[in-house]
Amino acid sequence: MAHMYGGAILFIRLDEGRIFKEPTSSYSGAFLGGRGINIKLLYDGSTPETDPLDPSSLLIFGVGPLCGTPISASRTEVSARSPETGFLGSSNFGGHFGPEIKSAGYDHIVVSGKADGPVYILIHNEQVEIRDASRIWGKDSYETQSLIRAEIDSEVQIACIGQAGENLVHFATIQHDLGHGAGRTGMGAVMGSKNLKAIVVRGTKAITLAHPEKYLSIAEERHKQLSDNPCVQDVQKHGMAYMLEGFGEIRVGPDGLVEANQYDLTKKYRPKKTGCAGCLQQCMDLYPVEAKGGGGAISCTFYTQPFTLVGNNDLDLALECGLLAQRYGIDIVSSMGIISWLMRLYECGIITAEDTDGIPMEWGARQAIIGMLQKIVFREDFGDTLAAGILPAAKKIGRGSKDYAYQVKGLPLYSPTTPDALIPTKGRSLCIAVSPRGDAMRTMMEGREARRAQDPPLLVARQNEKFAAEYMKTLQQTIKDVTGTEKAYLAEEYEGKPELVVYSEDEIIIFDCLSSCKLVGAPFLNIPSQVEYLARLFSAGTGTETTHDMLFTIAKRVRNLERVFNVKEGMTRDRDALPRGFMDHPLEKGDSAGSVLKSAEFEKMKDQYYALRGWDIATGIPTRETLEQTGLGDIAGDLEQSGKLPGNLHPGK
Amino acid sequence: MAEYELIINYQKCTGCRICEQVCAIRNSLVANPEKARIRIVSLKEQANIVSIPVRCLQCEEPICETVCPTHAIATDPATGARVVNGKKCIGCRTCVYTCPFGAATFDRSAGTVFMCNLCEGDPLCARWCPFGVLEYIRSDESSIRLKKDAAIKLSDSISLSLEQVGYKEV
Repeated sequence: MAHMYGGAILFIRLDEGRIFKEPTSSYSGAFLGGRGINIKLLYDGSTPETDPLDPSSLLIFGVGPLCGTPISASRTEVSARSPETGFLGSSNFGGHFGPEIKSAGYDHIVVSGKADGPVYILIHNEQVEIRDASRIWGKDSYETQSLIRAEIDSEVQIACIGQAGENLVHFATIQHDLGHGAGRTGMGAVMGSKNLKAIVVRGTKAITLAHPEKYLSIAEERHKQLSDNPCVQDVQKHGMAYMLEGFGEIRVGPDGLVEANQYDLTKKYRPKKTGCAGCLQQCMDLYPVEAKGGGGAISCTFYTQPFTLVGNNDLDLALECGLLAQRYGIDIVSSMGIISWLMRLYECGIITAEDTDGIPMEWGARQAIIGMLQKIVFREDFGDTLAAGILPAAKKIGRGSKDYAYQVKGLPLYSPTTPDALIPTKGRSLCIAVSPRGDAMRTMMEGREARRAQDPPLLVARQNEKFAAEYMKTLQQTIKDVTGTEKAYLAEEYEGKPELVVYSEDEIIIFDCLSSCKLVGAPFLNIPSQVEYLARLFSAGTGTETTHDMLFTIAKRVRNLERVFNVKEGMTRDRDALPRGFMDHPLEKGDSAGSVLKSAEFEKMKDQYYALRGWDIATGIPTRETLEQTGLGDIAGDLEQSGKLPGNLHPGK
Repeated sequence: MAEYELIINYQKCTGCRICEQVCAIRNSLVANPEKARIRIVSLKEQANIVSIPVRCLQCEEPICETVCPTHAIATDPATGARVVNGKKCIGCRTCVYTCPFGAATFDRSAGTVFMCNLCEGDPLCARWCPFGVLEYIRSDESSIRLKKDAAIKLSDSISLSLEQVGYKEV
């Protein structure tokens, strides 16, 4: 068996109750780890343009080769067709689930079919069972896990859905432990559509390493570097809320409505720290059961969305909302995004309380936030309309409501990507528009562009002037190396941004393939040559000498296959777009008043991005030549058969 | 008495299990918590998690050593750690069952027992622990060290109660 791998891909057909395995090695040569092999499995096993909630759809969990080692690599990638966007759905979560899958001897779990009634899957090394879940159906994610642990054993790791997933809310999540979740693109709904309440794993097997001592010494080098990093230290000491506090843009709600400071929540309850396996940062806060919402763990998005998106200043309300969302298993970004959109419509008089079951959608109002959240989860009256996602809901409401929806490809935008924060950052705008799933959250663009020349973008201990200066120097140099443009690190510049987006996407694909966390690493911490480091670890662990360039080659293959997957689902150039209202409208107020995102410049960035990717400029579809060059020659044939392969144009060369 | 001691600040443990990961790689050359000499047991109930490091506490009068029928367990004079002689160990697991702290582990693949050897005087768990839960410090400093941690914790609530009774710093 290959070093660093669990060794097998586990296939489970819930309709037939059939369970079988294939060796991971048949995939791990060309594709890599979590996100890489996931897209290959998904592409091969999907029929385009069928309902994502159809029983034939695949739901795939995957972990990468570095998962389960002491380098902040514990992430489990979940992939399926997204019921929220209709395109590729993918989201990953940390915690202790990924390492457990590997210890059980697996790298991927592929679930298809629909069980006759509620079931859960129990995996204990080779032993795999499909079990009755009728007793836990209807329970929230926290309670579900408690009940399963009581039934099986407290050492198991569990990924499960809450009521939102059961009710097929199109932006339901898959939750794990406290606070961990595959949040975006509705993976929980896909799980619910299979009548699958949970996957329960216990693994006791060893993962071998080619050069264990060498691996450990490379890992320790970085461990020390990170331990001395002021950003890491701040999160360790004060939590994520403190890090976000210094970031003005996050605190500005709609029309500056939000004055609340999320760090006050940490000060009030003094939560314990928690986080993922093998990570030194432990970026999550464990709130006590006496706290509002009954306690539980939260981190970054929970410190932002229930404040800024919905104009809320009430700390306890935000905490309660975040913890409820986890229990129900619903995406905090999409749910708050949709509620935020209703609030905008209400403010502009496009809808009234009559449209929303008598609830006035006022900024910050408890009933509008928690009341509407519950209506969505249980598909109660108007909640049923919203549960289909923001675009279907806009279609139903009509009255031009779509123009007020902050979404890309049907995925509500997260804060801080509301217009005031997004319009001034040109690279991030492009990144979100072209991204496979409709956001740039995991491409970490927040850390790659500076709004002001001397101000580091995000998560930087700004009171530490020396560190901030070093950070800016590294950022400028890194981005210059990547783009060849001196000023590309500045948010308002258009030049160099297509290069920056291509690089960022590829870099993050490598992280996602290897199960590595982006927060501890990538661009937030003033630590350059992250990929070189991962390549060294990968080489020492697997015994296969692998370079930075080789990892980027695989990343490009993954990116192209993800694009072709989306093309087959109907992706076109015009879907790589931001909401119309974001374009050509100068910001009227705020720190970046006067800033404008010009559509002509934006389209030019897109042209360049496609050219760099080797995609046809008119359609955004990968050309035959590009597919062949990235090792996807067979896929070109597929595209040709479906009549979507662009003519033999090859722009940009 | 050994010169150094591996202390545990139980309340600081976040359950990251980095200690398990590095221990298994160093001492068994594989990634597998089952092979770690230290385990983090996370007790979970609904919305709460309490994580507790379980490891050899280096007893002054080790039961494991006393009960071992083949005298396979001896104390390393340099570190004070219990060391298992794999050749003498018959895999009877008497030490595993009698250790009050669950610290001795039967290695199913080797057929023998392993326990914490303090990494020959440089325990990786302490070197890597991100939150100072595990610290390898001079034995004569361990007592005041733990008291200091307790005092810092107390100082918070003391200043809080002083405020509550209207005390103001002049």
